[in-house]
Parts: sequence; C-alpha cells; structure tokens
Amino acid sequence: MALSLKDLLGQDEFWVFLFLLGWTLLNWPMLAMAGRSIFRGMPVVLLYVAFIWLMVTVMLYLFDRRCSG
Amino acid sequence: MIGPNVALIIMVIYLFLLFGIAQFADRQKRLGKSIVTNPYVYALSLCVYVSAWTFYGSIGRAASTGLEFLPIYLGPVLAMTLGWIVIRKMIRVSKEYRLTSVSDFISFRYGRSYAIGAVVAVLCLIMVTPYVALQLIAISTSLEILSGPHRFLGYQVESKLVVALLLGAFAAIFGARHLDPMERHEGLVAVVAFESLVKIVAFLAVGIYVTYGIFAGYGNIMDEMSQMALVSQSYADLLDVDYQTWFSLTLISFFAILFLPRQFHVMVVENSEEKHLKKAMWLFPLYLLLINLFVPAIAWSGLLLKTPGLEDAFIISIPYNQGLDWLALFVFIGGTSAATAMILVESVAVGTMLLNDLEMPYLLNRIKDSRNLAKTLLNTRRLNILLVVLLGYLYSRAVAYQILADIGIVSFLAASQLAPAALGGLYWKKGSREGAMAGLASGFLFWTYTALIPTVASGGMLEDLVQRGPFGISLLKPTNLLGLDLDIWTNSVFWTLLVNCSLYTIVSLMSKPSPEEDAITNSFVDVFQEKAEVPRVEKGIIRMGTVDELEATLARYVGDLRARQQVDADLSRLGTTRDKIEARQLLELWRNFEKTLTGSVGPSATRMIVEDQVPVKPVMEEAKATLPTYDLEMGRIYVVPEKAYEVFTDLVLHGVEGLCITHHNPDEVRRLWGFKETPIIKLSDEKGSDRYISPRNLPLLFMTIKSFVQTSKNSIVLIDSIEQLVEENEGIVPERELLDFVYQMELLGRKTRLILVERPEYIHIRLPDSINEVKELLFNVGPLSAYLFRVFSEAMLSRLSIEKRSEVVREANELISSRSFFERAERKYDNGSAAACDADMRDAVHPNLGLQIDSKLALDRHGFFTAVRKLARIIKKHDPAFDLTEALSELMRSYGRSPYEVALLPGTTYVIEEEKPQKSLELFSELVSHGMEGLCISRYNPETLEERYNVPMKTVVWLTQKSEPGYRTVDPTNFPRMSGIISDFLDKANYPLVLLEGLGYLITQSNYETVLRFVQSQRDEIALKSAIMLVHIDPLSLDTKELHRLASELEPLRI
Repeated sequence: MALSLKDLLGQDEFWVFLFLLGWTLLNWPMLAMAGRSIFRGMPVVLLYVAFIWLMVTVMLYLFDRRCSG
Repeated sequence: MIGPNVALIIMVIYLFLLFGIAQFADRQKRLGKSIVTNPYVYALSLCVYVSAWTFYGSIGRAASTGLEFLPIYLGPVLAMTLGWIVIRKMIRVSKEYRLTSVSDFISFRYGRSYAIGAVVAVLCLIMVTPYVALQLIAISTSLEILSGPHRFLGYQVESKLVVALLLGAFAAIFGARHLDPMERHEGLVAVVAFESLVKIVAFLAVGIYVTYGIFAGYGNIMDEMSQMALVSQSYADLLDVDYQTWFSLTLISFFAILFLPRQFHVMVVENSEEKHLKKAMWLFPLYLLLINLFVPAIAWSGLLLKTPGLEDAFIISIPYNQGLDWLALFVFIGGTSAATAMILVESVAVGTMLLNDLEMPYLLNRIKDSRNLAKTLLNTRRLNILLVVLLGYLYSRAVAYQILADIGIVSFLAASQLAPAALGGLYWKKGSREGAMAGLASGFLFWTYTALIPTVASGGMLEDLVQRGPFGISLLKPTNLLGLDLDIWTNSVFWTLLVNCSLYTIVSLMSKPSPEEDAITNSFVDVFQEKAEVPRVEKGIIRMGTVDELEATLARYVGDLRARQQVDADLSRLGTTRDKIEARQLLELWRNFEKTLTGSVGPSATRMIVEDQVPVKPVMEEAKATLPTYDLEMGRIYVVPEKAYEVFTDLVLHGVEGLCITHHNPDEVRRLWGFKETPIIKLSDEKGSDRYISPRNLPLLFMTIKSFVQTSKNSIVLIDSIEQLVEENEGIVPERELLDFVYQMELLGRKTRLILVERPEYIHIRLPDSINEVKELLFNVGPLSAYLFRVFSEAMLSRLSIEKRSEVVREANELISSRSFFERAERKYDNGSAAACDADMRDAVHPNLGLQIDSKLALDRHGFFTAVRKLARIIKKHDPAFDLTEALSELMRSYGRSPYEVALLPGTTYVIEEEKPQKSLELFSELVSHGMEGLCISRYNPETLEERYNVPMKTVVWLTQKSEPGYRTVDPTNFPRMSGIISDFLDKANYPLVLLEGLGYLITQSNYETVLRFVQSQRDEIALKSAIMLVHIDPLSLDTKELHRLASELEPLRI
C-alpha cells in the first residue's frame, strides 16, 4: 500500500473511475437528496453541485501539478 | 437609452481591436516569438465553449427552469476527467495524420471515405446553423435594448441583418486570410483567448453588481426567492430539478465538448503541445465554475426586480434599467465577444470541412488550371464562411423567438450524433465504414425528426406533424415517440443515440473493412504504441529535381509561398537542404507530402491527388472461368527466371489485380501476353507519359508500387528486373538508396505476390524450380550484400579518427586481398563494368580510407555478420572504446534487425546473470520480433510472458508439472523431452534462438549436476547447429562454486 498520489493520478483507470463517480454524484439519486433544502440562504443542491465541481477541478489540478513529468 | 448606433460603433471598434490582436499574434509567430504557444492561452481558447448561449441563454434558462442550465457545463467538466485519455488521443491522431476538422477525423478513420467526410461536413453545417442563429439573435436583441431599432439612410434596418453582415464579413476576412497546411491559426487563437478574458470579466462585473450592489448578497436574493416561492408555485419550481432532462443534457454536453466543430478545432487542431492539455483540463472547469457562479443570482434578481423584456436579456437589461449604461455597454461587449468567438471559430472550422470533405474532390476534378487553384480554394473557403453565417441568419428569421438555450440544445444533440463513429473509431477496431455511415445517417435522420422539426415547426403541416404525429398516429409524434412520455430532449437523446449506436455496432460487425481501412484503423487505435524510429542515413547526394517536383505539386493546393515554407520546414526537420538531401530523407519527405496534403485539402481529396500522382490503380481483367495454372501465395516473393510473364498473365486473367514494372515496351508486353487493363509501368527516362518512371526515381517507383498494393486486396506485382535497376543506378544513386528500396520492396512483398524476373546467376541461392520462393533479398540478390557491407563498414569506420581509420582500413584490406577476411564468399555472377565503376567511386570519395570490397562479392547472412564482427575486432584493437552494438544500432533497426543480433555469435551459448529474467526475456522478445526464430523454455506462464514482455506465446514451452490444454508444457524433470524439443526446433528453424529460463526451478526439481549436464549437452548442440542460446541465471539462487562452474561453460553477455 505504498502507492503515492502521483502513482494514483498517473493511472488511466483512476480517471475512468473519477469520471463515473462524478457522473453518479452529479445525477439522480444523489441530487435528489438535497431536495429544496436551503443552507444559509443557499439552495443545498446548488452548493452540492458546486462542491463536486470544485473537487473534480482540484483533482485535475493535482494531476497537472504532480504528473507534469 | 444609449444614443442610436453608439453600441454598434463600439462593436465595430471592438472588432477592429480583435483584428489588431490577430495581426500582432501572427507577426509574433513569424518572428518566432509566439504569444499563443502556452497552456494558459490554450485553456482560454477552449472557453470558446462559452458562447452567447451562456451569456444570455443560461440566464434565460435559469430564470425559466431554475437549475437546469447547469448540466450544459457539467458534461464538459466530466469530459475533462477523461481528457488525458480521450482528448490526448484525439490530438495525437490528428497531429500524426494532420487532420484539421472533425469530419477529416472521422472520414480518415474509416478509410479516408469521401462519403463519410461529406456527410459529416453537411451535418456539421446543419448542426451549427441554429447555433449561429442563436448568436445573431442574442447580439441583435441586446443591440436593440441598448440603441433601439437601427436606421440606415432613413430606412429601418433589421438588427439581425446588421449583426450578420458585420460578423459574416469579419469572419470571412479574418478566418481565411491564407491557406495553411496545418490549419493552425495563431491569430484566431489569440483573439479567442482575449475574448474569453473579456467575457468572464464582464460576466463577473455584472454578477457582483447585481448580487452585492442591488441586493445584499447571494443569501439575500435566495431569501427573497424563498419568500416568493411561498406565494407562487412557479418560483418554488425553480429549485426543482428534472432528473431526466438533467441526465440527458449532461450527456449531450459531454459529447458536444468533444465533437462540436469549434471545440474540436480549438482543442485538437490548434493544440501546439500535448502537455498544454494538462493545464487546460483544470483551468477550463474552473473558468466554467466562475462564469456560472452568478447565473442564478442574475436570473433570479431579474425576476425579483420584475425587469421588463426577455429573460434571456436580464444580464444587460438589469444594469441598463438601473441606469448603469457603461456596465450595460461592457456586458454588451462581453456578449459580443462570446458570439464573435463562437461564430469565428465555428465558421472557420465548418468552412474548412466543407472545403476539404465536400467541395475539394469536386474542385480537383473540375479545375484544370493549376495556377489559380490555391486562390480558388481560398475564395471557396471565404464563401463557405459566409454561407455558415448566412444560414444562421436565415434560421434566425425562420423560427419564432425561443429561449436561446433551447436552440443551443438542438445543436448539441446533433454533435452527439458524431460520438459513436468518432469514439468507436478511436477505440474499437471492428468499427467499419459501413457501420459509421449507417450510425451517422440514422442518428441524423432521427435528430431531424425528434429535435429539429419540433423547434422549427410553426404552423402548417410541420406543426400538425409535431402536435398529432404523422397521419394522426400519436405513437409516432416526434416529441413523444412510442408514447414513452419523456421530455422533448430526453426523447430525442434516447432515440437518436439508441438507433445510432445500434446500427453502428451491428453494421460494423456485419461488414468487412478494406485493407486500407484496416491499416488506418490499427494506426488510429494503437496510436500510442511506439513506432520504429526513422533511421539516419549516411552521406550521399541524390540527384536534383525531386524536391522541386514535390514542392510544385504541393504549390498547386496551398500556393507557392506556403509550399516552399512547408518543404523548407520539412527539410530543416530532417536536418538537410535541397542540394544535399539524401536518399532516405527524400523518401521521408515524400511520406510527409501525403500528410501535408491531408492537412491542406483533407483526407478524401488527398487520396484523389495521391492516386492521381501515382498513376496506377488496381483493375481486374475479365476473369476466365477456369482455375489458374499457377498458384502463388499472397505475402511471398518469388524469383521466376524464365516464365515470369506467363505466371503473371495467368494470375491476372484469373481475377488477381496486377502491376507490371518492366524495362520492356508496355505495348509490346500487352500484345505478347494479352492482358488489356492491367497497368504497366516502363522503367525509362522517356517523358510524355505517366506510364514511365525513371529507374533512378526510386522513391516514386516505391510509392507507385506501395499505393497499388495498399489499394488492392488480391494483387500481384512483377518487377523486371532488379538486376537492370541496380545496373542503371550504379554510381548514380547512393548504394544506401538502392538497399532501402529493395528492403522496402521486401516488406511490401508481405502484402502481395512479388515476382522478380532475374537471371539464376544473379540470385545466390539454389533455384531448383521454375518458380522459387526467396527471402532476405539483401543477402540473396546480386551485389546487395556487398553494398550492405560497405554501408555497415562505413558506419563503423566513421566513428574513428582519420589516423585510426587509415590503420584499420589498411589492416582489413590486407586481409581482404589475402582472401582471409570474408568467409563463404561466392562469386557467382559477372558484372565487371560495375566493379570498375565502384572502385573509381570509392577512390573519389575516400582515397585510402575505404575498404576494397569487390561488388561481385556475395555474402550470406552468416558470412555477412562474421565479416562485420571481424572488422569490429580490428577496430577494437585500435580503439578499445568502440561499441559494435551502438555503432550499428540505427542501421540494424533500419533493416528490421535487432541491434543486439550483431553482437551474438552463431553457435554460442550466452549466460545472462540477473535476479529476475527481465532483460533476458526482453532481449529474446526483441530478437524474435526482428526476424529470429525463437524457442523460450520458461518457468513463467506463456500468457504472462506475452503480456509483460511481448514474447509470442507460440514460442514458449512452459516448465510445469501440470499439463494445461492450449499450452506447450514440459515436465521439469523430463530432460530427454526437453532435449528433444530443442533438437527438433534447431532442425526446423533457419535462424534459431533459444532462451532457457528457470534454471533454479530445474535444480529444485532434480539436482544441480543433472541440470549442469543438460546445459553442457545443449551447448554442444547449439554449437553444431550454429544457433544462439541464452541462459538466464539468478546469481542468488546458486552458491559461488556452482555459479562459477555453470558460468565457465558459457559466454557472459552483458546487456
């Protein structure tokens, strides 16, 4: 289990997994969990989508940083 | 209201600014200081995705349906996670074959099919029309909000027409300034990147103003929305998500980011370096996140403020109604940026594909005056760009105003129809031309029925069709096929992709691709597999003129200046000049020619041009209803001294497609042998017919034969004769060029039946029959082995200083003159004049520095490599640092041999000491893949060996006590059987190599002494049969004494 983040990000299978995970998280039924709830004045569904979006972007950023060789 | 025409004037000034930026970028590129070749500009250029749809349409959609504007951006974000896998492959393929549009991409993959290219080009034109209309509507609407209706010379002029004229002219002038063989436009990319910055700044400015200037933050807007939701259901619905639509829109936007013509253009064609993609993969989603941050805030603020006018225009009407004219103007410029960037790139991309894949083949057939061709092509492209904008304008007039986002979705759905053929083509080798055509055609028919017609139907029969279904059959209603009760977009996504994918798959499985399509498929799907490096060549000057011929052909299609620049760039990349180009470099230049043309005129037209340049096409003679007398197998080379024409004629008259290369008069050959259609090329310096090829123009001769072989499934090629060809080139063309030609012919011989008409004395193997199969032409035909030795010895000697070289040459020449240098040398044919000529040539080039090698010398493979090693030993005496393998590495590879082969002495058993047998297996795999016949006795499972080390399974005998069906196995204690397997193999193989791996296991299963005796006996067998054996030993598995005893029996080999 000595796999580094670089090794993980460098594998094609990881990105296929992330794609499928992202697809799942950004669709029904995950989206339905938020319903019409509001958190601090913001629709939770909007916050949730923005959070996943940001996480995916961060992973892609790490890929650029760690696997630039 | 801002004064009449003020916004229009600002828009024109802005367009001039864009022109200035483009000019600046192009000038910087010419100066070698590109401002575009960096990942940030590349990432910003991808943001052309953010068009007026986002700027206006997203807000309209957010105001009308709530959060359903989001999936249009989630698809692209998810696509970026596959960027390094899918988009990089698209970039690699497109660069490799210089594909400059999505239609090129798909048509090239399916055998450079004109039909597919044309269909995709037309479909792209239809697909982008609603999208362009969307941009025109958006800009003209915002223009009218700011300045009211436009008047010109007292007449009211439609704003859409004004915008269409302006943007059309801008795109036509800007997007087709010159023909570029690579279709890369740095000016365009610079402008798109700049506009992306303007867009986001404008969007964020209005977002911040509305959220924090008008309201007290996002929370405040949401609070007020919540209050409104309590009293109005329509407000409450804005927080709901229709999951069906959400899924469908995410899916089509995922496909759209890959296959919309403009996205393909900026992402794939304009990519200057693959590594830029990495940065773009996160910068692009970040950009989308930022630009969408304030969409709900602006949209819902517009509702809360009860802003008058269209919901789509909230972004401009809110600041305008609040009295912030400057901000409204800035937003207008932002929206103009979004629209111009989209129209610019889309029209250039679609204009290019219309030209390359639809019009070019027609133009090539019609336009005979080559002087005007380049200009005609440029003007046709300008007209195409205007056509794209014009159709957009007509569409915008034809449809009643809809929510902008809905128009965009129609285009996205169309782009999705390209996905099965494009992605399937990229990853699935069985995807065929027929399957792609069936998928594309059916997908687009269903798209027209389920998406296009419902959006353009306004009254009349079409509306009746949409409302009630054809002939009143409600189950066939375009928006609710079979009554599935899906929303309009999901209905269209479901049916179009279902039919498209199904037909693509089924028809592909039912059809058989042509050999050309097969070859392209393999190179497409396996594009990341390493290719053999193009070898360097030794010195030698080729005749003048050939490069000029190539340039002249290219100039017809891209203009004189561009052709010259392209050829110069290719020459520079090859490290040579027009005057000093060498044989192999010329061949490489010809290979690039086809790629360059593909970049300029598309794959379909390139195919036509190349076929036109290379005048032979396979034809089938009227086949006799009898069986042929002679049965020659495909993929073999035959020497037929006496009745070659008889054999050739027999086969072509029985349905085999033939090509005859001869020194005789073609009419005479045709008359004598009675075939009518079969092409005959005469090897002659005569001019005036495309049926003559100079015997010295070997690259053209090779291309002619190659083109013929590649376009025929069942072919035969007759060459009469290599001997005459060699004589005619002796002293004129470098020997290396001749060798390359013959070697390439040998490779080509694997795809056809190659008949050589040669005198028996010219061939160095016994020819017992009238038809004789021959292999390894370089060692068996005429003086080629002597040429080869000269090339090899020169590569070795060139590494020495003049003094050392002189000493080595003197010593070697002494041995040669005393006839003790070459073993097994034979003198079988008389070629005295050439020999004299050789001596003159050598003296002229290297007085006292060249080996005195007689051209009548004939060496078989064994004798050849023995002589090479002998020379290496002499060199090593004078230069101990000399490394034979390294010195000949490139040469060996260029003739399909492993560089290690030269270092391995036949009849020798080598020991390789390493813990794991990795290097041993890699060496074995490399040698086998380069022509040696191998037997690998290994402890590893054959499947593992194939997967990890590329060792062919059929070469492996598995050391195991289990007998597994499908594997060749041997019991590790059964030494007699092992000896038998090796002995049988050595008897049958021509050039045998044995790898023995798993000694530790053998010792464990029996004992050390038995294994040692087995190795000793095999060593003797190997020596007797002149084979090569590699024995792998793990030094840690034996004690020092055992290791020493075993190693002392064998030659050490260090890799």
